[in-house]
Amino acid sequence: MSQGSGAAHASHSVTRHQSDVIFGVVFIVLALIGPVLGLIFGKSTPNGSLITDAVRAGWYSLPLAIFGVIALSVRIRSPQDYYGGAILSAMALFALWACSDLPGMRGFAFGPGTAPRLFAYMLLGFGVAVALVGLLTDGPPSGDYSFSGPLGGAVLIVALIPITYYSNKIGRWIPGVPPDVMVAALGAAVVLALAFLLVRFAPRGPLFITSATLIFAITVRPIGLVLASFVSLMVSAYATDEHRWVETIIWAAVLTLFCSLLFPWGLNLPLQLWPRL
Amino acid sequence: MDLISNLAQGFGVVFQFVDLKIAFLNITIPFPMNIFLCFVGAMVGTLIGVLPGIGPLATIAMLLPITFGLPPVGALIMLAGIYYGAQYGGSTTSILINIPGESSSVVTALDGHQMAKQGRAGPALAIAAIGSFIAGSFATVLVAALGVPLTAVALKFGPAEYFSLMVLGLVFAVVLARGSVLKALAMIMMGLLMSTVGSDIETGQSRLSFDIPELADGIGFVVVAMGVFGYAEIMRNLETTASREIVQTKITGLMPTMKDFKVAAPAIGRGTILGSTLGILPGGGAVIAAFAAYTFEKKMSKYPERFGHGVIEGVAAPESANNAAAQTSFIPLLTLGIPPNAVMALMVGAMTIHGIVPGPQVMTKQPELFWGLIASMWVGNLMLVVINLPLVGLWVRLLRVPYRMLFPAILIFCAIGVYSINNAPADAIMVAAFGLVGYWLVKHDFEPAPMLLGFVLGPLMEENLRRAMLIARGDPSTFLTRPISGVLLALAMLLLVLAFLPMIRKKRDEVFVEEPT
Repeated sequence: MSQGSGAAHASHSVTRHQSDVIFGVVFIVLALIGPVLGLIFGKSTPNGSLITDAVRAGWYSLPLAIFGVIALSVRIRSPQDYYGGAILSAMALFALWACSDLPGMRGFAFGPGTAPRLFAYMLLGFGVAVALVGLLTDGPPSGDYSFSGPLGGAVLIVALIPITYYSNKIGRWIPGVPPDVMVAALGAAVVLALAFLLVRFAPRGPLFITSATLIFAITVRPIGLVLASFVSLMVSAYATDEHRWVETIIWAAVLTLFCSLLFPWGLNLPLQLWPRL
Repeated sequence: MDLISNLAQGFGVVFQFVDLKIAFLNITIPFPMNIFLCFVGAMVGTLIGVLPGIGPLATIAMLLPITFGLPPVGALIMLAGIYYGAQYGGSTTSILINIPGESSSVVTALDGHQMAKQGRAGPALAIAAIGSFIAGSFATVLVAALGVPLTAVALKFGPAEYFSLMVLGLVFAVVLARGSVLKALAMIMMGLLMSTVGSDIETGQSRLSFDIPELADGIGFVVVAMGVFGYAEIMRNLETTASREIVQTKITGLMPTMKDFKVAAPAIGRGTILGSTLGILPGGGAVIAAFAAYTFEKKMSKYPERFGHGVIEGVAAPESANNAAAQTSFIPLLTLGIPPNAVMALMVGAMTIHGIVPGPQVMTKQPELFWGLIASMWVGNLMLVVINLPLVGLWVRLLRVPYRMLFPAILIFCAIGVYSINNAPADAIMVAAFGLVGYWLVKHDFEPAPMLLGFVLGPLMEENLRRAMLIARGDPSTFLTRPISGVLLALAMLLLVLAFLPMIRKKRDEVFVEEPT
């Protein structure tokens, strides 16, 4: 790590500035999410109070703009620390917003919101401190794919939300096919298609490890452990570029056999092996 | 004398025979179930720990679900076996190929791999096993001896003391770990924050769960551990195409010579004592023990320049130390209920799933569990010697399995395992999500271990903080004015200040950077 980063440092010096610009803009956009959502979904205040929902939501997200402005105007000396700290701060602000409606201290007793808020403020503090260190001291650039990897995987997970939300409708698309199999098949197809689409921008590992797991999760109930494991194992083979077809198929079959013997029989877990017919 | 009768009770539990019905023969035979579980645990733990790139944390996280169907005592004995096995398997990997499976065997690789290159892999592996066994035996007695008095102390603790003790533990974990102190503190906070997701203990109000039913009970512990340690490791390993330099020479002559023993014996002794002491400290554990033992041995040696070129002390000392520490780190867990490191945090998770709340009451209310676990430590260490020495050949063959065949196995095992706990597909999706989180953390050089520790300690800390504040009628100075609590907090503060002092910081970094010279 330490040896490689020195060389990477020099060669990335041009592109690194570019990434600072991208992140700067991303953070400013993130900062505006609060007020914009507040304007759209906020309830209008009839008594003409100055503090509208938009302003209130902005309290939580607008501070992120500072990270963006800094990234746009100053050379970030240690991007790894700076962006790490910035994202942790964003997480803390998000948590603060999410528990803003929880009651706090009641007299001298803690309310449900006290501890989460306490931890979130401390995370915010340390996040800012880590970012400051990244601003003031030299350090390695962010690791390769540090954003595209998690982001690519996150897209796959998010893509499942509309499918589960509309599962009742999707299940009736093709008459004769059981609704849960229909939903699972569509979900798996969408995840797989997205993964192959994103593989140009994001590393294979996170993309296909995530999609293999997602496909297992959505198919295991409708089509049973055996088929779900086999499909998911085949997908996972794409996580590396050195896969060989015959070997992959044989190995997936062996592992599927092993797992479908071990879990239901060896460990006595009630798992359904085959599709319900 | 209590010690002996207690240990006897423990061995009674370990050697318990249960009637095993063999269905098709329609007979029942007495079967030493716990010994069997200990053996299976150590075996499977070694098997998986040997695989390069899979450390004890990932191993335990991966194997947690298979212990859930067992009775609590058996499950914990098996988990402890898995832990020792994984620990030892890691050393085997680092001796035979120069890829340490986990950070605590990084130092073993320095001299161990050199020995292997000189055709002395056999003695290196043997001395690692023997050293580990001696250290393990000593540490077992130490755990048994310290268990009773420490529990007595712990029973006097009130909520304020508990809270301060946990603060101290977390600070220790930060200071004794490698990497930036600030980042580790941030990780702890992230873990604490994550632990508040779900319903509030006192009011039942749902917090940070966004009305998602899967989050209403909080984030599952296995989900976090598997994602952050298992999945993230796979994602990261797939990017590095590390060349594996397996020692090709046939391993002949397993036994070390008389001269080897003479040189290694004092090293084992020193490593054991150093490791046992460091293991008890919160935040310590196997990693720092191994590093410290190696450094100490090098300082003591008459020929420090030969370290890194295959001296047997360089294997014996860190291996004894990390095994001793691995065991004594059970002391804070079993007596105070506070996991001193991430592995013990995993044990807490396993105990809670079995309905055991770790803490001083375990010893008084479930003595069979407490002493059984301690006795099983010794048995587990014996197993390691029995399993490993004859099976070295098998482990070597396992090392040749290419990673492209390894990772799908880990993946599907994790996915089925986590799904089977609650039959909840959402859990598997969450594992994938936490895998991405873990991947991101590693890319930004954040250690995930403190996060897991914070996550496990979170509910306990919050509960004790709330109680202490309620008792003190909302006066936070109670943490400073109660003597024990005040001392603990002062210690924590002092440690933090020390860790930030430039001079100490440099020394701390040096301990973790032990390059072959």
